[in-house]
Amino acid sequence: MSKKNDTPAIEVGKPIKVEAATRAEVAEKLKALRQQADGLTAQGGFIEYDGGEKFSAVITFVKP
Amino acid sequence: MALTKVMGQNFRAFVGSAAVPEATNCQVTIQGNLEDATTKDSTGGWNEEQMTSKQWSVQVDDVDASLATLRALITRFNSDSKTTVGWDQTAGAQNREAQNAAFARSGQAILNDLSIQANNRTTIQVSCQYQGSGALA
Repeated sequence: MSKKNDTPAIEVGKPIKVEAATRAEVAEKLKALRQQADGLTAQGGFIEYDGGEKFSAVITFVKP
Repeated sequence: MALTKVMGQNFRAFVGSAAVPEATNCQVTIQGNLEDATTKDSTGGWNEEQMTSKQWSVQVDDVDASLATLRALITRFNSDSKTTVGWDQTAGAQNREAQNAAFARSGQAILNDLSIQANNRTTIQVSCQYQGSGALA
């Protein structure tokens, strides 16, 4: 049985959008992505609040 | 243990999903409006206050003074539209990577103040203020 993995796959130069209901959840997902992107440099990652019930961030990993 | 302090250059304003490029200073203001809630039950001679509403704004000085930025800012001002504005600690390339610090916040805001200072033989200086509209979270 495969283990469930909700961290999106990282492709160099391709922006990844992360969404969740709380700021902390988005921060956790970004942290997991950063750990996964060993040797790559992150760009962006600012957590945006839409004024309602959604937090999101866009992060891109590039070669240093 | 020494306290970890945040340096001013690493506290940056974000508009949309990106740090405001090239800016020098930014100022975040979060205010609560109070109403006197003192009654005859209040003792000790001290006023009692009650928060009735809250407001926030972000001011950024010396933003990138390019033609494209100026045009975008004036267009945004004229549109009265809301955009995501906030702040975070930054690091990395060009010091623009958000660090998701515990004090980072964002919300929807309106560009309500745009100031352009044009002095002879110097680059123009552009400052703007975003007034929060709705919750900061």
